[in-house]
Amino acid sequence: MTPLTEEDWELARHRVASMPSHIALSIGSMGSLNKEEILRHIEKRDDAGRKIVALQLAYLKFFKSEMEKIADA
Amino acid sequence: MPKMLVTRPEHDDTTFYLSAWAGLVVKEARQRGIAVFDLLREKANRQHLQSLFQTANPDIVMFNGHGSEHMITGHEQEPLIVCGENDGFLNGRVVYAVACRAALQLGPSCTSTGGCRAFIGYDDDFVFYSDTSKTSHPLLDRVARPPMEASNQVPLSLIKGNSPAEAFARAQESFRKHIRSLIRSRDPEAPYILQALIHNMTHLRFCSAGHYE
Repeated sequence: MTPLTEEDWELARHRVASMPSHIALSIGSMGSLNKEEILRHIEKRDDAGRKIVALQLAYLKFFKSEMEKIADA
Repeated sequence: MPKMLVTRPEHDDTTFYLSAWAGLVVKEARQRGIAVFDLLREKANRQHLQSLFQTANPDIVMFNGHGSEHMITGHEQEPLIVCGENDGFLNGRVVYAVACRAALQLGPSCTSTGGCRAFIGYDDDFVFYSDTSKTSHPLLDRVARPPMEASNQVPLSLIKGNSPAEAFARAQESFRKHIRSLIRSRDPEAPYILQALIHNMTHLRFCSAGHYE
């Protein structure tokens, strides 16, 4: 797994902070995590936190590549 | 007419959701006249599963539950299929596993020798967001719907008689269709639903003898 930078953790924390509080994330055997629990995992920087940051980064990377495709078209 | 076996443990929120959405596949298969062996809740145990593999000999198997690189679990996390231990029960069958990371080791291993016909699954965690006000009614949860619908395309395609490769392709197309429809949405939940769709689509794998994608 690619090492996460300080900027990656901060970016993910900001994105989760703006997440609607009525939704929860189910992530394998880690169970269903609400917004507060997700933020706690990011603060602790544990395995679940890493997974959550990776999810956010993959989404942003995908979005960027789609936007580039639109710009190039 | 093919025969189908489905495992549907229900011991936590995640398995409860997977089970509810897999229930739609069970319903559709039965409507098409396919014999379905539905291992729901406590019935999703190893003894029952192995017995049905021997007596009913299903062609298509859909696992729902938790998993790891080398195993798929059932109700209360009982290991159902373990790589190198009892994965020979998958020989000759087409398998779809909605279970975390099972396509990392178990899928390639049981298909590499030509035993299991095809294994479709995920090489990382299967993830989805849900609406906490809909926990008791997963089928009414529009936040969970897109990744669940895309995932269900694999077994729905198989029961319509498509090949495993076609089922894999149709699921990928369903993921892309949901992504396209959500990418311009202004719903506050849309970016989170998209995360789950992008993650699951990226980690969906198709394994058969000499083939891995």
